[in-house]
Amino acid sequence: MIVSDFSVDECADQLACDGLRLNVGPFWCHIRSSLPLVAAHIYQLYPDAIIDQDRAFVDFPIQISRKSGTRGWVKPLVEFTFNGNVPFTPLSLNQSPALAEWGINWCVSAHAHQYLILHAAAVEKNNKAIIMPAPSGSGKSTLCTALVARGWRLLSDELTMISTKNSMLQPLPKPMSLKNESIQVIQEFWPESVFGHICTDTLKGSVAHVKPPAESVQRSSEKAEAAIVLFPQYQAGAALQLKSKEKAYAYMSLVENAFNYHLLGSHAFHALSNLVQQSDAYELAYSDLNDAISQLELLVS
Amino acid sequence: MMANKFKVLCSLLTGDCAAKDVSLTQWNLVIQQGRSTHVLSMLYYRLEQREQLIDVPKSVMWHLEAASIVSEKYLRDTRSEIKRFLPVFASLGVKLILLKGAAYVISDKPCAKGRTFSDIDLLVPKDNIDRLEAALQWHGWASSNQSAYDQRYYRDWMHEIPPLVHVKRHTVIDIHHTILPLTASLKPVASNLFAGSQEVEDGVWALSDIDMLLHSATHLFMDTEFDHAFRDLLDFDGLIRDVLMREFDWQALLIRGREMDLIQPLYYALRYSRRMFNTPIPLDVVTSCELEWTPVLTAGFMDVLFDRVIMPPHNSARLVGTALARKLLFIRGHYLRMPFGLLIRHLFHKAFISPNEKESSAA
Repeated sequence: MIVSDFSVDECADQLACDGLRLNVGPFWCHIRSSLPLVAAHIYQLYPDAIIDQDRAFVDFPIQISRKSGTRGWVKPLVEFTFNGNVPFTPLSLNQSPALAEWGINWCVSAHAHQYLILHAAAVEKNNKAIIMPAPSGSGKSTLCTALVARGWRLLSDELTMISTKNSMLQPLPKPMSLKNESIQVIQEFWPESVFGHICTDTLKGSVAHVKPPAESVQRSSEKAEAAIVLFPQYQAGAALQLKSKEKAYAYMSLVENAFNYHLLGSHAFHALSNLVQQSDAYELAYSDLNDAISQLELLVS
Repeated sequence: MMANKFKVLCSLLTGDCAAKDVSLTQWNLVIQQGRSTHVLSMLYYRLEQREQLIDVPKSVMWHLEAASIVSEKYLRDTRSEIKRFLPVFASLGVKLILLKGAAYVISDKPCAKGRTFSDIDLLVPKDNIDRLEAALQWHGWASSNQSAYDQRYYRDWMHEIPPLVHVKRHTVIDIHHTILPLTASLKPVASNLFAGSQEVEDGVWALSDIDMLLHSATHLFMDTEFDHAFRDLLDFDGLIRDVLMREFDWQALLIRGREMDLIQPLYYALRYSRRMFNTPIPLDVVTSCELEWTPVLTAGFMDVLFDRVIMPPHNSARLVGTALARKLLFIRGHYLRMPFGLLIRHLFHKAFISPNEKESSAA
């Protein structure tokens, strides 16, 4: 059964009562929430995710709920609860979809140490995966979403999970997160895209999520092999420029963007060494998404 | 009644239940409760020791493996910190004695495999503390930034100095000179602890097995906070099971407890370890302990309080009155640590003066 087998009301009822046992990549989340915004978010952006209400074992028990207290009368706040703990400061009600997404990302990055986890986007085409580690603002998510719009398989837009056993990439095809100007850029670039609620005034500005293609979700147990480490750099008006980078640079940049490199010790060192050995590294300066995509299509052809 | 909701987790930890007999629904609870009590990595190594990892369902296994990876990191970091302490201690001629988690792990107690801890606790004779603190400063460990009141609180009244934090690695060490606050009503004699200490590794020492048990009981049951009570009680259970593997003289434990003025915490540890983990403690040992000391407010009343705080703050175990029990034990802990007059003064300062101090130093 998948989420879209429910009606929107059934989905909301399940979330509010027993909770929804939802498959996300290799994990099962048990999400409880009586907030209509959260129900709408899951219904719109996870329609192809498998649900199994009879499942006995779940990885992440999650609750997203109104914070109790008198302050809620003036400005309603929502909090994210994992396993009975509240790991973040509460956000305003309007930001609850973003809180749900960040919360699930945190569950993964704080616990799933069987993987080396990078703050990076990853997409795949022709059995060649591109990893894009990048600081916020480099256009990583925009480029990732644009590639997905053109038929690339989404592995993950935020957390790239690398197996410490064989350096293969484990997909985590969650909704893609876009910020500020890139929301409009993608709405124009990909008119058929499905957007969730736009959360305004978050720490990162306005944030909206885009539904991943059904195919990416269905193939989430199919691991991918890294072929390219790409450092995208959006520069308004710049001509397309692809520059080869040294492997050592790629390695160190990946370490900088890793959540648990030091925690994993030698496991991480070997996994990342293999990955960088087998990959080419490039820096890509671009201003036009179509140009960038054509260039990357060439690299994986 | 107490261990009901945690029964599967407890008996998996102690070996009273085998991994193959646990259903997926039970595993679901075990992983959630084990995570909130910080014992998942200990569970991993205990199952490994019993060759039962193979019976853990595949979907469950990664939670245990990931926890063991985290605990390996703790162990690596602790070893590397100890390596840095050793020359400093050697140059001063001071014995490096570990306490609590670090001591259990470094002395290779089988029960402590996978045990994690945030600070490294050390025991140093009071006369050596100033010299040691000064020497450690040269190596980057500095007193964490605290108000003049906090400095006085620690240095005049407590059993430890303010935590030292390494400026680059942010590791935290707690240097103790005894195991209870100087102001506490119970008065263990610190010099006895040093005399009994045992070398567990080249240049690294820990308390004697019996003192380790007494200290484990003391820092759990004489404290004001119980966030790690479940794991600390599991330590006590494990240490008991460990000494029982060799010949163990229960009378020696009671005699030492009496000598160190620690019969009260020992009473609680024996009582609740049996209740929670079914620890093989002979009933007559508990009875002889009871003859010397029983709670003023009756054992039944203390059970109501401790049952609520030893079980972790997990939804599956929430009993009515947990918050109140925490508050009462918080007050009890302070009362045991300080005479009444000093306690009132301390709480007054913390409630009305410290918050303003923070504001003015922030501004």
